[in-house]
Amino acid sequence: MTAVARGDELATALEDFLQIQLGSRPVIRDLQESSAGARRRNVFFTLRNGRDEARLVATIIPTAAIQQNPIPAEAAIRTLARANGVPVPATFAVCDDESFVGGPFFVSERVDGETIPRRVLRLVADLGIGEVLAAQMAAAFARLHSIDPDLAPPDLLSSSLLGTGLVAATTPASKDPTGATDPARAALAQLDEIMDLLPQPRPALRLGLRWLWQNLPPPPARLTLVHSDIRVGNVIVGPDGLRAILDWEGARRDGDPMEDLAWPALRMWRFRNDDREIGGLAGRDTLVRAYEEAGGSFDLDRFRWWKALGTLRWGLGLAGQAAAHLDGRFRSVVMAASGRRVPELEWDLLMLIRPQGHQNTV
Amino acid sequence: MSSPPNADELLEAIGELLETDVMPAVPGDLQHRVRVAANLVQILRREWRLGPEQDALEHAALRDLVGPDRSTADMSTGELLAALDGLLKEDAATPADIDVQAWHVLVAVVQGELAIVKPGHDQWQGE
Repeated sequence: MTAVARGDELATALEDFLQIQLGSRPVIRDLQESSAGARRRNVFFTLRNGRDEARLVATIIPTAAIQQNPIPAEAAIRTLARANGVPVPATFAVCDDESFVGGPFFVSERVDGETIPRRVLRLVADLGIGEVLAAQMAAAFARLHSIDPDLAPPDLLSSSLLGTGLVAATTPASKDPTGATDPARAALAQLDEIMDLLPQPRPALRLGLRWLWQNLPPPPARLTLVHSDIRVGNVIVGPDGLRAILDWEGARRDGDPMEDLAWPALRMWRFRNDDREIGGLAGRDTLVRAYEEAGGSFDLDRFRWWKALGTLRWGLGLAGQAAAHLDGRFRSVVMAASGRRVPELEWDLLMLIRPQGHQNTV
Repeated sequence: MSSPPNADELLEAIGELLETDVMPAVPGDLQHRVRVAANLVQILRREWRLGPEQDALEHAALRDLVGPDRSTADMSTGELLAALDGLLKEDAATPADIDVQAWHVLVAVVQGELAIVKPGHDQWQGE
């Protein structure tokens, strides 16, 4: 099977696989594709097995797509996080055999709630639960970061491999002089290489890169599991707040906990609520208080450094999308338009690396 | 001189077509791309009005920063950008306060471009 199965064919393929898991043939109905996600497909369905009924979702990685964590590793880190109090939908089954539906997949429980940022922020504003949600996210971070990294699945991504597959391997740069994994250095070395591949120089991004090297923090006291993409858009939210954290494909075994906290604080993830630093939901104080109450240890300098790094990474990503359009790898008006979004990220980056005591005049 | 409508007026007509006629007539998965295209039309209209002045300001600001010890008189904006990029790659770049100087110039340059691609984005100046 070359393409991922759809419709009735997909339902039959899922029934074939789940029959092996369950020992009897289940019936799948109400199969419904989520429109979100190009790299991963989420398919909702109801499973009936004898008298039992369950509302489930299959997350499928099309074979051709670049896989970050292998599906079994992603399923295992989800299960580990869930066992440690991080809200994650329960995993029902994992399939690494691409022959069933045309790609590896896992099946998990379906959790009701909003995921689309615009709707999440409207719900949060209507109910006045922005602070609650931000605090719940902070507590989830703290629980994730408290897990012994040795318990992670052995094939979970490592920070030391950042960059492989995108550009030349950066392994030497990803280690500090003593040979230990240094997530900040690894991430920055990756961006340094990408910067040199830009078809046109972007001095504002270059100045950001320069600042990041000048302010590179020492390796963190403790490397922790990191999700690397927790933000509004990757969480399921109900009237009670945080219900589940999704998309663990980029989770790593040896990250800097502050990179997780900094990510939802990027301006682009505030969805125009610029004055609420944490995901457009709440201020930084809420995040810090809840993270520390749940056992985490906040580090402001590292938090700021990772914010600048994330902003630079996104700016380079947009420039890369425009390049992919121009050189014909991926022709699309959306990719072309990304090139004109780079100045937004340049501005955000310049505001983050403002020299002490200097104001810009508008 | 070309016959009217001018470029801005033609772009305006294309924008109206995309927003008023095309958007409601296409399926959902295409609407996002049409919306992006309509926004690009607005960017091009602002570029048509503001572009030349912004290019001149950018060129002058970059020349002041990169020169005067380099022969910047005849350099294009692209060459100045490459020169500044090269300067910022050096560990011990000159002048000593290049980071601060470059920051101020780039804030102004980026601000000029934002007036075209995303007016108002520079209103937020915090972290």
